[in-house]
Amino acid sequence: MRHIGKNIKTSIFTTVFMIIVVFLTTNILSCSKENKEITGEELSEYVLELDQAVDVSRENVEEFSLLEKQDIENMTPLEILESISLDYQYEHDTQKSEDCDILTADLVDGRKIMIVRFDRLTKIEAFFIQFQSNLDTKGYTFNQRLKYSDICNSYEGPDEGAQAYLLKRSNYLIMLLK
Amino acid sequence: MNRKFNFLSYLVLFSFLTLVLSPIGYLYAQENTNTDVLQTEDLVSWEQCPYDFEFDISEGYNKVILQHIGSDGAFNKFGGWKAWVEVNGNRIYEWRDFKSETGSEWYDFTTGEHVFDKDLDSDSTDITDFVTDGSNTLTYFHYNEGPGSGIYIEVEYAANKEVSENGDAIASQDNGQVSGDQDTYDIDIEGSSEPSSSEGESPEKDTEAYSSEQLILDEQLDLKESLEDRNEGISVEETEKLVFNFKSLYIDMDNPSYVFGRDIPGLSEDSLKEYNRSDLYSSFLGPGQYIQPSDSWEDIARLALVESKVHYNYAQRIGYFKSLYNILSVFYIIQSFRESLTEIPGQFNKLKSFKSASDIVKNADTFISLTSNLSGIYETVVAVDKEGARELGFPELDSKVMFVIGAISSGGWSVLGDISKATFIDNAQYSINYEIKKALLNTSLAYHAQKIHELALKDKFSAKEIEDFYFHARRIAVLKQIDTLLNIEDSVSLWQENPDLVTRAFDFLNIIDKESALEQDIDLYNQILSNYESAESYLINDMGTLGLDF
Repeated sequence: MRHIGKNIKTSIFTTVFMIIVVFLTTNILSCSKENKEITGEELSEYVLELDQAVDVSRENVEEFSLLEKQDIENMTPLEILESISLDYQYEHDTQKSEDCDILTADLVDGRKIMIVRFDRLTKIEAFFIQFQSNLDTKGYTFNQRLKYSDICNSYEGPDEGAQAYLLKRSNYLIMLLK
Repeated sequence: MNRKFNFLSYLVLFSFLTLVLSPIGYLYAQENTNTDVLQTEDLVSWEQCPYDFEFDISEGYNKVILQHIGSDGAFNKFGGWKAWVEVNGNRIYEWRDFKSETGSEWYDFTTGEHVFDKDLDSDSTDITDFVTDGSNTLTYFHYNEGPGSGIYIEVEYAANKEVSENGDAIASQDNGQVSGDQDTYDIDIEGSSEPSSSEGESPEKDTEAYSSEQLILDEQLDLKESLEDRNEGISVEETEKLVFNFKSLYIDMDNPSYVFGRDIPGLSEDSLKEYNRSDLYSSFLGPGQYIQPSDSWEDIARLALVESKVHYNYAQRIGYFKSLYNILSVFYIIQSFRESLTEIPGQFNKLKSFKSASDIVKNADTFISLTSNLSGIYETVVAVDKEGARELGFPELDSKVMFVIGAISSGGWSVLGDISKATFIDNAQYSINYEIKKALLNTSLAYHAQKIHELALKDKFSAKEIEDFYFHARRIAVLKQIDTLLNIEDSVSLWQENPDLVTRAFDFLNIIDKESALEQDIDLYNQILSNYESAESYLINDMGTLGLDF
């Protein structure tokens, strides 16, 4: 009887041992697979650190807050304008330009909105950075980064109290002048 | 029949003699040449570049060939990505381009030919015409990640020249040991320069001393002779003063406008203090109204340091790194990026934290590595998909500009010839890297201006210091030209990309800047560019007058 008990203990021990070995081997294999399949996105995280080091203001811009949870990729420029007009009346103008659609609107409360939808994501990336590079020599002073995704910067205009907000999200550049 | 027999006999005899004598002839020929090998003990990594390899050659050499040794021990004609080699200041070859069909494209200065990897029919370069008896310097540069590549020089002498055993043919380098493979000797640069094969015997010439102090004395002598040739009326004593007390006799080294023949913008210590207290500083804007004609090289360095910080900050704040992340995320990124990308944040933050231009001089490697990392990344992205990279804001030109900025601070001269105003304008609309290029360029400017400032503080100069002075001054003139080209690029970029959109966006923001005003901007920049071009010519003339190489 004692002999049988010993055999049972041995087989339980062997089973547990095998489970541990299989578990560890699977883990090791999956880790090494992960390392081999590291993506460009993961590698680029390093430079993203530098962007995340920029101070982000919690300033609330109502218009952009309204957009934050919307899937603007599937909205037209006019639908976006409608959703951020805060029910104020506006006059608007649209223009089809090379690589993009442009909508500008003057609202009765004095705000101005410009919405640019780029045909390709690649184009907005270059324009957004280039445009800002020019702004600082044209009297607009960088003020702060705002919390809105994907990237939102505010500028102080040359006219006293004028504030410009630039939001880049998906293939849209939205500018708000207050 | 008899004649036929005779002919056959001669033929057999001739064949026999040929068979017997050929090896003897071969051995005889072998005995009449003696090959010596000079090579770096370790492979040269890109971080060590530009790498100076000094070697001595005795009289009576017949042929000198250059090869590179890879980490796998294979011999190659050329030395890696973006590589170039100079021997005694003469460019031997340089990397020009890469295409997947042909491999790298090289320009071989010894033959004046473009060579492609796929067509290579030799693994060595004949540099006999570029070396001299005695001390020679080979400068090697490359941008390959990994262990790098070694330098291997084979010198063929007449057999009666016992090059290795008497220690005449000796190689030395700044940072390590050098060994000869065949006819071996080892030299410890820190200690004795006695060749190992003749232990206990004094070498005929103390080559280590020769390669440092003697070299400077030789240079001074050459300079004096050169000056005497040109200035027949000047006595030897006066010439000597010219060399050793250059400052008081020839030019006003403290005064940049005297050296360049025109005013150069700078920032005085007092102006910097005022700027630091101003709204411009707190808004991360450049010093604008505080800029004035510089009275010293330190003024130039001070302004460049401030400008570099403004651009580093602005690049970061407007989202340059977010864009870089977006762009790199959509590309297939090779593992070799990992190291570069990991290093970039640390290097960037370190450069932003510098308090003075002397910090840049002390940490030049950080700046050089950052330019190298960025240009390497851009270059690889371009190699993966040239058109895609261009559309995303990474034109091929940007990696070249980065490369040049890094190279001219690390002592090299690089491929400035490829970069013209027209090329900048052609690429302008695609580049999103303006701020980071301006930041790096100003760091480089601060580095060179600070180096001259430190030299200008001296009362007397050696010939080497005079050469250094011109080295840095000329690079400032070139950096100023690139800076102006970048300004043209920035002005042109938006208008070239989509004039309708820019017009609408500027109208929207009440910015009074029309496309028509662009011509005026470009005229102004052309004037500035021409000023710095003539400043460079001015310096080149000066260098020519002094008999300096450039």
